[in-house]
Amino acid sequence: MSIVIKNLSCKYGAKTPFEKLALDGIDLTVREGESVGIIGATGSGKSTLLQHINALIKLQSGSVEVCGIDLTERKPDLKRLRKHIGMLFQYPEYQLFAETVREDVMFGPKNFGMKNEEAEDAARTAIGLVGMDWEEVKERSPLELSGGQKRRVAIAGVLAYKPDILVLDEPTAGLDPAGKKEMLDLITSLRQKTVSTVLTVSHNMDEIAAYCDRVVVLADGKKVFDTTPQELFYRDDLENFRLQKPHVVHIVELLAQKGVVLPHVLTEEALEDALLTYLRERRGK
Amino acid sequence: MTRNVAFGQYYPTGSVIHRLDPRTKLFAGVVFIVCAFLASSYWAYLICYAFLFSVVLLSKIPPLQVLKTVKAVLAIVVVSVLINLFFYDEGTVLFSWWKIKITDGGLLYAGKMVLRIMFLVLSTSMITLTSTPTELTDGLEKIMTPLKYLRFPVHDVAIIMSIALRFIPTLMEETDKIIMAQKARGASFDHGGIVARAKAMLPILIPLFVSAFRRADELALALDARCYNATEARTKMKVLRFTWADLTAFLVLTACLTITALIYAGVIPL
Amino acid sequence: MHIFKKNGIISIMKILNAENVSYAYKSEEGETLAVRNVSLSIEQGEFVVLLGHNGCGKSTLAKLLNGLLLPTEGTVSVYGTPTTDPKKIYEIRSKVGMVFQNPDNQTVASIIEDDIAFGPENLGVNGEEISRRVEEALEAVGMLAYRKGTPFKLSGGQKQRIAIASVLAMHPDVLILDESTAMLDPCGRQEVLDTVRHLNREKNMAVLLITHYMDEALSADRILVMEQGEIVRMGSPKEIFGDINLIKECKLELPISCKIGYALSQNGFLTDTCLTDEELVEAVCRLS
Repeated sequence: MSIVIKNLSCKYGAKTPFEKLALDGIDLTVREGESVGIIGATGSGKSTLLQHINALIKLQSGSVEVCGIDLTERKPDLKRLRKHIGMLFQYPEYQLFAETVREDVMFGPKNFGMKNEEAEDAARTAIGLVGMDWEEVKERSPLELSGGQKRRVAIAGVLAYKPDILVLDEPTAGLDPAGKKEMLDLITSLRQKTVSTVLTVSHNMDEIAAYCDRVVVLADGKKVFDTTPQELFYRDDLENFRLQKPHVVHIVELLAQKGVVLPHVLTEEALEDALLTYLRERRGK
Repeated sequence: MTRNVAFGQYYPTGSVIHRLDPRTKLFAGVVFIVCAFLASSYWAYLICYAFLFSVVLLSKIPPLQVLKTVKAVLAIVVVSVLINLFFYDEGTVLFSWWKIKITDGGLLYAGKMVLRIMFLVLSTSMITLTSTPTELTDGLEKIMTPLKYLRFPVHDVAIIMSIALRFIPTLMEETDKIIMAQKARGASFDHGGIVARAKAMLPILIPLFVSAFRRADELALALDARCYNATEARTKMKVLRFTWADLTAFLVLTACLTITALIYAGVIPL
Repeated sequence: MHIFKKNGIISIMKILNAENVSYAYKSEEGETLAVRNVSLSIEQGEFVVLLGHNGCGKSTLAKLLNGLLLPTEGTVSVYGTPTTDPKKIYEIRSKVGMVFQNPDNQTVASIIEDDIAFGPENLGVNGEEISRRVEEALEAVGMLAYRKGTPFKLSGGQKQRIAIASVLAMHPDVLILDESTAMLDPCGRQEVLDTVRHLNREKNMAVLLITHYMDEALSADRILVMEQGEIVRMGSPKEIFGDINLIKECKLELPISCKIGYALSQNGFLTDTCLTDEELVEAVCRLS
């Protein structure tokens, strides 16, 4: 259950004065069980890349293979492909349409060929996975839920058809601190329980640093880095790609400038521990 | 999935045509449309196109840019050519196969049809290419001013038009996003009969409507916050001025209209 | 500055003053109190941040402040005029400018300068003056080069700067930003914050910034914390972020440097609250 992308390029508005190379020779492999973050400034090609994974735009050049389905074939089985991938766009709550939460969450499963009963079971399980109470919400209109709840229902609508790979575009956009934390916890728990392979696009570097094993950086449609978050975020040329550093990294680097050298940590907890260890050692001396 | 929204987009060059009063341009639009329907001979079209071409030159917009606007209606042009070609059966038969006959009369008629549709599109795009939506709505508002005395909300209608134009690209982009999201959830929009297809549109239309209403709500607040309807004595940053250039344009347009009408009536035998 | 001398006492006049304001939404199921007994004021040139989680009543309060909503109880007044005065409401709205959350839903015209002109046109300002104001407003947000362009093609941050300019053209004395940074990426957010700070420092514009990004509150003159329709605390950034219980109760979050500083003080290393990364680093250096 992996994604293999080779030499992928994509042009918008070909043969017009507005021609733009959105993707330029991208190679990317995502193996089962990995959590990969994709970052880059606005307009660097992240969304275009995501859309290729689900065959939402036509493949122009290069090759994409998702869970064994080769998109260079003349008629790839798009239904089968899309069932493998749970794709959540930015503000996914804006895609809710059905009269009840139940129907909305069942939409995906039914599209992918599940019978009514089976689909309802799947919907119930999915609503449970996102931490909501099925009996309480199933007959409610998705439109009358709160913002955070709507987003959960949208996620359930994707989980319900049991995808193998989760693709998330800015999963925490527009949420308040409590909502953000809940969302990150949800993604972490989903990785453990149901979908182990996750691809996340985000502008929030703290988030990427917190739960991605690998980070891919795009700039002007090219892949410029593909490495671990530790390696990437402690580089000193990130500004050239209009990327900010995670907050924690900023603090560690400021400390290093003042002679307080700590290990290259990425999370708040790790920084806290590192600082305490450092200060205790100092005090010991 | 960026769509071609080139049709009729404002193309600023600061030319004489751009600086004309929008009311003049709206009048020109009416003249062009009437001419397109009155013109019945190739000679009449020659005059119309010559006139249009000089307008394009004066506007300093690259002619290719203007021609591109036809792309949006290319399908209509092709269909109407085919229909005229196959079903117009006066004149000598040039080619026949099964029940289809192509006659020289059909060929001529189809040619005129192409010229007519192209002229309509090109001339009206010249108006939108040379004036901003605000100018056009301002112009319409001015023209409709007398209706105010009949208690017709002229200004509100102008604002509604301006906002509608402003939100077309936003809502088109939104539609693309929703289609992609539902496709990712396994929806397909090209299977089954008419009823099944119509039903398949609901997952797009409902979120689109919900979003349009939400936007309308927010926009209404933003309008209020910016003092919409504060005073009857609303002013304009750009005051419309009728200049000598406008007068000239009016005279030329009237002349053009008269000539085409005379050709149509057979007074000028062309 | 509006300075009044009355009986020998000099006082800086408040631009905006809310006293015991409550607001209830009416629906079929009855009334829901969204804002409860709120009192606050904003003075010339101040930078005030209003914090609170989603649904705590921040936006409702914002709409009460320029008369988009009228209080169910209490009064909101701008330069002493209550928002309930129908004759003065537009004057009030032009003095209390408001920028909203969604960058796409605030523009009315397809050309940027026409959009900026909309406010002053509504107010009946004369044409030449409007043109001058459009230029001045676009200059103030650093978008003058886009005057004849269309807002559709701009980035989120640029669109919000246009929204700010369109409000500035009405010559307000206070700018309310109702979660105007919530939908932006980090670069866009920075752009908008820099613009707002510039207006505050260089043009003495009073600002009420409503947000749930804690880092945006660090440089505020005052922070108001809202919870369940009430303003539960008002204080300097040090006071607010120094109170970990308050932050937890109101479902807010400490900025990372505060969080780590707090952990250090829990372990007996620090006594002060560290607001910024720089303060934290300095404190650690002093310790070692």
